[in-house]
Amino acid sequence: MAVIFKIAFRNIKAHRSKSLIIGILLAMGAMVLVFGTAFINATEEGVRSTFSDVYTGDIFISGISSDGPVSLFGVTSTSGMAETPIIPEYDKVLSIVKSTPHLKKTSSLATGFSQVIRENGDQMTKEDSQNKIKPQDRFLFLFGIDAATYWDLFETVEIVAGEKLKPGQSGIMINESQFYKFSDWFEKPLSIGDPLLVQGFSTIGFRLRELPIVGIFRLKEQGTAPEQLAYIDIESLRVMSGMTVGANEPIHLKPEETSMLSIEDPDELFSDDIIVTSETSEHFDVSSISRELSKPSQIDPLKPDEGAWQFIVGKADSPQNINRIISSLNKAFEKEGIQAVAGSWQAAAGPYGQSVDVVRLIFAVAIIILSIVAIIIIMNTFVISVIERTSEIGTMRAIGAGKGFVRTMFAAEAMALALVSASIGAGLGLLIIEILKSLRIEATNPFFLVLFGGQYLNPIATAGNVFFAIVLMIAVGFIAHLYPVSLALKIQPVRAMQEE
Amino acid sequence: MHSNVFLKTRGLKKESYFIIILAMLFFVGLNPLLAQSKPDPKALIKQVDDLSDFSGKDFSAVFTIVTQKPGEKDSVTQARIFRRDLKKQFVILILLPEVNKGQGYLREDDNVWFYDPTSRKFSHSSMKENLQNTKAKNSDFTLSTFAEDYTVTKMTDGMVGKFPVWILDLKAKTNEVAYDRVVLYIRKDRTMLLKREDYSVNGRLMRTTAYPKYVELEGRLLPSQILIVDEVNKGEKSQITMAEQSVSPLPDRVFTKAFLEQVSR
Repeated sequence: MAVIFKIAFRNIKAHRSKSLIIGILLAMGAMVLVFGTAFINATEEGVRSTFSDVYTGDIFISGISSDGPVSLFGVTSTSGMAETPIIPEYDKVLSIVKSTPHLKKTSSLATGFSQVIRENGDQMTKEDSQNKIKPQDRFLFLFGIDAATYWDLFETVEIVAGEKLKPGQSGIMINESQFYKFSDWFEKPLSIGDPLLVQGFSTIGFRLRELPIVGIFRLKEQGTAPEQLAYIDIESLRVMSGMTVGANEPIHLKPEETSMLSIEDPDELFSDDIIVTSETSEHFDVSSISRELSKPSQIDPLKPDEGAWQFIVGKADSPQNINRIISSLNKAFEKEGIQAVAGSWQAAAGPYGQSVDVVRLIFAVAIIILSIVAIIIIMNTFVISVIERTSEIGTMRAIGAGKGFVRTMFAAEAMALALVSASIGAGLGLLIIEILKSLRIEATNPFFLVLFGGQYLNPIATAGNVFFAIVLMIAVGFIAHLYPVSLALKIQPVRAMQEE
Repeated sequence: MHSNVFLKTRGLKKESYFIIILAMLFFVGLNPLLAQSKPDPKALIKQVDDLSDFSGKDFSAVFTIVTQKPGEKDSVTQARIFRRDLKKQFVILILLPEVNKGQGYLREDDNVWFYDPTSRKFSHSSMKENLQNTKAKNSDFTLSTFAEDYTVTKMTDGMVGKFPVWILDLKAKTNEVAYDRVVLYIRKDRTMLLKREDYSVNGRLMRTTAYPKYVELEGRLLPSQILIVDEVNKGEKSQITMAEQSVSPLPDRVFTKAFLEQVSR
């Protein structure tokens, strides 16, 4: 074996220029791989930590909906608006969460859609939509939070004016850019404490609420969450989203009021004569309406259901423990028969996280394609280099070297060259990563922010990635030499010796 | 031989021309009669509109809307509707469910307002919007104005159940209406709307509405039971049942924002 390696190194030296070309290519391949995987790592880790820090946490617990996957942005359903499920048996779920090891902090919340209405209730005019505000800018995505625990979990929300919502306080916090858009639209500068008229949509209908602006915020990592994200107190959110006590009160109906609902084809209703009953008009007194409406109601539409939460978000003590926590929670929910599910930040971010994931995926594919191209070039160069040495192979065979010996010799040569070059390349890759880190290249727009996984480009190289790059290059060297060597060995030694 | 055949065919041709001309003259003469049996489509939809037009009177009734969605409990909305057709005014006041009690819709000039008593605020709504969480649009409770909002593009006949009907294809004149294309099935022997189909701009059937029961009130015909089938979300439908209908005069203040504010105080 030692002889083989001795010959291999001697050959590398003897064919210095060819070895150098192949060596440089292998080194470059290793470098691209080390740097590329470090970049993908950074994006992956950056995106995770960005979302996790801004609003998703590491662990996301929700109820289960038959309409589609549940995220902080509701149910992704094809049939339009589906109701976001409430976490069933919340107290039980919470005690499971509290007893789960490695789950550091948690907070419960509920979310909903709404739109901002102008004080005089006016509709948007054409001029408004051209100059001041686009229809989608009026929408707010409300995070109904428990202020006592939420800010502890998401510290990165930066307050531009006013303050963060306090426990028990009723009000709304809006994004800085939305604040300016609303000011323009209302044609008056808004300030902290001004009321904002918000109309909530839910499956039970509309609900209007006037909420004071408590704070104006800026997300540290813009681009991770929609601009329309606004924080409100959970009680107001519950009222606007219909999560109120007795929202599903039983109503007694007469049989004829539901008789047609079981019919499949509306034409079936016309098999009998159409009943036309003649009615004489009854006397109707408007004041009776007031009496009816002022009857003391058993249900207070303003009394929110104290126990109603849609989500629990939490942070793990270390990113390594995230998957362990998720599976332990899901096992516990299954064991207790609770219709709840735990997921990662991606489940929480829902469609928003997926779009980011697509960008990341495209970039990863680009790096993979680049690597494949590099490998093909390396292989090609190898083929040319071995074929050029056909006469040498012929001479070796003529003086008694067996086919196996020649093969082993070339394999040793290729792998030794690959090992040395790939190690140098990987070292260069690590050096570039360090240089890039020290340069602190800043993301200038949301696209790069997502791609960099944070404000600055911060590639993360792991020992595993370096090892992978070197092993892959050795494998490339090994595979690349097999074909030309076997070709050269097929030629008769005498003829091979004659080839130049 | 050939010339004979030629002559014969020519002779036949002459005869057939004669028959065709005769037939044409006959049908031209018959045309006014035919026209009489096929009504003028524009007049027909105006007749449908006029069926429930209480112009000169006020109208009020309670509507119970039961909405069915697969996998969900039936939801119930009860509302009292007030109409003053002469001025195109209407008020919808929600009576049930309790959580939405006192909410209301008001049409004032060309504006439709939504009122929420919990915040005592109004917001802008429209005729095209669904009433609460039901399959019914606000416009389903107002005076129908097909003749004003649509033009008839096609008129054929057919059957709905056991009733022969005129089938009218309508195209919207404005974008103020909820649906761009509507197909009406109007009973032939006594003008009344039996069924309507609503289509979106891109031609998709959005919902089918059946009117199998009517009530006669002061010489006007009003559907007392309506079934609305959502054709997009399969299995979702609403049944509307009318009760306590009345044509007693209503005070003017009913059709004001102040009424909605006071009534649920």
